[in-house]
Amino acid sequence: MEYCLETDYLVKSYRNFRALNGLTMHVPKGAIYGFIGKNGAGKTTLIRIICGLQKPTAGSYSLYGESFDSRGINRARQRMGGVVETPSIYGGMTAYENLKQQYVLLGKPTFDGIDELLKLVRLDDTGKKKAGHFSLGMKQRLGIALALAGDPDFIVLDEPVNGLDPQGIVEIRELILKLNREKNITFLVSSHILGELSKIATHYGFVHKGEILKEISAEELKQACRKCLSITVDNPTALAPALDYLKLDYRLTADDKADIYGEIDFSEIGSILKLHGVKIIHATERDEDLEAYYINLLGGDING
Amino acid sequence: MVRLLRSNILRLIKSKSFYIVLAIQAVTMVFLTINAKLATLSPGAMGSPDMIFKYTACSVETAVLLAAVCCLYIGADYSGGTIRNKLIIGHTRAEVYLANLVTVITVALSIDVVSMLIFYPVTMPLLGEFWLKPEELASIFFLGVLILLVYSSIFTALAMTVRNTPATLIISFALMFVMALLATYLVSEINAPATWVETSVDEFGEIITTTVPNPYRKSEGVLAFFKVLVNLFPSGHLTVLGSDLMSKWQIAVSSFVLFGGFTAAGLVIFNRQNLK
Repeated sequence: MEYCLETDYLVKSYRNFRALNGLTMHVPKGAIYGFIGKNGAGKTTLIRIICGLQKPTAGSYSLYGESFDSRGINRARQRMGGVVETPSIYGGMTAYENLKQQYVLLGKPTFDGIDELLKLVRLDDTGKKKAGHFSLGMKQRLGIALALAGDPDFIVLDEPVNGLDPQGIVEIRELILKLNREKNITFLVSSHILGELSKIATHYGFVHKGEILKEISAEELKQACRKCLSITVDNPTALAPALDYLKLDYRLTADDKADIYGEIDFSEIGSILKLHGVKIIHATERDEDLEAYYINLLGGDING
Repeated sequence: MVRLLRSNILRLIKSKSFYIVLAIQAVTMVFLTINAKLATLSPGAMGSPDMIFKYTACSVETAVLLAAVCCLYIGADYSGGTIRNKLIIGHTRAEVYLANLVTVITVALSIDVVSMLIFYPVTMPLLGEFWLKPEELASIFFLGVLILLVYSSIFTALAMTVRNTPATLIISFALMFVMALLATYLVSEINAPATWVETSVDEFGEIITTTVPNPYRKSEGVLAFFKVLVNLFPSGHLTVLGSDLMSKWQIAVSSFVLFGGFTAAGLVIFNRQNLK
């Protein structure tokens, strides 16, 4: 398999703090790679390193086969675009002028294509409005347009839906899917909002405390996710002791709700719980979602 | 680096602060000219454009204006995060730094051009002929421009490494103030006369004048040290420019060394920084 990005035991230390602790990952070409981790896991640090903003303390990475410390790395970077943390825009310029600046930086001979880019990200009607007066969603879209200006085949997006309203989230999601489908652009998207990533990612990398816990494709994840029975009961205080007694693999989602994993016989569970004074009011069967998978991967250590 | 320079110049010509600074310089030149002309109206007073000519190349005021534009211009790249755009697409840190330095130098030379545009049509007709010879004027101008380039390298190094516009502005202005004060103090000490005349009255009421050593003049060793210090920073050069205190070659060589030193230091520090 061909990879856009490969990292090999990347370490990044800042004085007394280690942000990356031997992170090894592989982003396949053409993928939408969901980079998942809670706040402080190391997502943004990794993105800063691969975008050339910082150097690793140890370990290595390569872009399109070019090692980070080789002469060819800057040429390889010309094939990528990125939005790191917040969109990098000149607030005193319009969307068109911002893109003009980027075209000049890229050495493009003409400014053809700017209008099409603005149309793609739905900023073609902003006219003379300065980018500093844009809404957060508009700024994010402008940031993506700037990342697209160089016709990249690899785009890095750091928490692109942070702070966006539902419509903004949908727009960004649709844009990523469209660009991946139509132009075969590889995306590395970091987020701690698992629900959104689960709608677009083809591959996942779960990061915790600066290390990759697991890399998995969407297909493999689907296979790995367990069956789950979600129940709502009338006696919250007795629920957990009853489930513990039954030695079931479960997770309490509310005082009176629980997700029980594995192959469960509903009628058997219902009868046994009734003997413990717990009556099931509502039950649904579903597959384990990405969030549950991730928490399980952490060993339940969501606060560690 | 050509692309970076093109982008920088494009942004500069859209920058309001750039034009404000040029306007301030133009007004300053007019003000200095009028002031000098008014001074010549006193009986016996004579004027020449020589002192104002020095301003066309470099002055403390020019350096302050340059610091302001440099901090705001380079600071915008950090506050907006747009420096990331340059690095992500493959420009090296050295290219980004040097392109910014060249842009700051462009601002400095633009200020000089505006000064000249006021000097020749306004100052010269009002104040008359030069007293200094053409070759002396040329050397003053050339050295003044070199000193301005040293200031450019200092402010670029500060803006690129401090990365915070308000902090850079404060540090730059404070540095200018301290350097100017220090230069004035050092040069006044160096120029202190070796002797002075003491007057006294004898028992017959006759006034006696005696030449005595200046008790406040520093020792030769200290003065030699002060001369070395004056040579170590651009405000020192600016203060002695046009005088006999330092040779033109000394100023030129020191300026080149300072320019290279500050640029190299700025590059090394910027290259090592973790950017966000």
